[in-house]
Amino acid sequence: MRRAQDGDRRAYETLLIEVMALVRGFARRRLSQADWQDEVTQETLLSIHRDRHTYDPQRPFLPWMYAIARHRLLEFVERQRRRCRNEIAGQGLEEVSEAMIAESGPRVGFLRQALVLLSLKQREIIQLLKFEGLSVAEISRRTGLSQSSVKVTAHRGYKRLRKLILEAGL
Amino acid sequence: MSSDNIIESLAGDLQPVQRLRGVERRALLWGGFALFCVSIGTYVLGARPDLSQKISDPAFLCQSALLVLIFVFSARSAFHLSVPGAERSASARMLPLLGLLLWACLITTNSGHSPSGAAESMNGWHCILRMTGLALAPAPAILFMVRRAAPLSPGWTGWFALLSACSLAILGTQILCANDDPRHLLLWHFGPVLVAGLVGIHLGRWLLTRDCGRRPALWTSPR
Repeated sequence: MRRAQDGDRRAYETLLIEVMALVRGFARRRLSQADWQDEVTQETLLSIHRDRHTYDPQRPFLPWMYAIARHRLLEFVERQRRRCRNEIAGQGLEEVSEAMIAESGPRVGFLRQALVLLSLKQREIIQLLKFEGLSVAEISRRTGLSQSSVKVTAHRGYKRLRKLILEAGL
Repeated sequence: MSSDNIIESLAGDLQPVQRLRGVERRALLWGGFALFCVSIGTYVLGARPDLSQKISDPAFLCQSALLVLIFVFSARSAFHLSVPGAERSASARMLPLLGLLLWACLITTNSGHSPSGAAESMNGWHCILRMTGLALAPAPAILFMVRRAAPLSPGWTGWFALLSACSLAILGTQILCANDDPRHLLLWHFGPVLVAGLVGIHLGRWLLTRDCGRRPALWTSPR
């Protein structure tokens, strides 16, 4: 990590590969679904990248890394809990979606309903990308997130939308 | 995007970063700055007339020593919390709380009254103003310093940051304020420090949450 802080890309890539294995194992012991484990692993990698300046080479690396991984895991669990609550609350939208389906066709209606089930961050990124037509670079400037982070968030949103569409059989 | 692609992308984006100084060093740096600011402020505002007598008063000395301990332990906790994995034990968070409790006990058990104390005990806005004035530079400085790191518990970090800054500021206020009435001390010295700490929790959740001020308002969900 010390070399990565100095800008050594090769050392950083090697480190992240090792970190990915450790964090995935950490997430596997605590989360049942492979999707969730991947999400926590990816978010931990992004956090490690963003907060790498806080690592002190005088201290051991693993406690620093696991503190970030544990935090990301707790945040993820909390987000899942909120998402579940939203899904329950979203059941009231069925009447609205029926009107939408009649008006715009089943796929559009369903897509709009499915967007509600995404996290706020994913929904916002997808709306900026697809409805407002902004580029990744523009969204990155507007939100302050890195371009990699915007891409990852959008990708996760699409993945979840795809899953919802497949489950609905559309 | 797979994890492998993310690693490739992150490694590709890698730029050298300036390492944050060690936790203890940053805490010492801020502590020195805060002491300097409060000393200058206290000197400019003028010490209480009976300070030479109070220096030999055990109750005054105990309260001052407790405030110094709260200042030190809170600052240490705030800086440790701002770096992932730096906090070795969560029990360290209890020390400033214990200090606050002891301070409240000391005030309530202190039987010393100043002649004008009872009358002035309900009017201590000047003490709040002094505390705010003395904390005016140290409080934003500590928040800025912990924000530069990566606080994973913004609420706790904000609480300790403001508690530390305000406990030192109120120590300065005790040197300025000649009113030793327990009601005055509880209401206008202890109370504001506690309130400042609680404000710190909200301020921390707002200011120290990562990406704060850069996210669209829609996503901001304080932890």
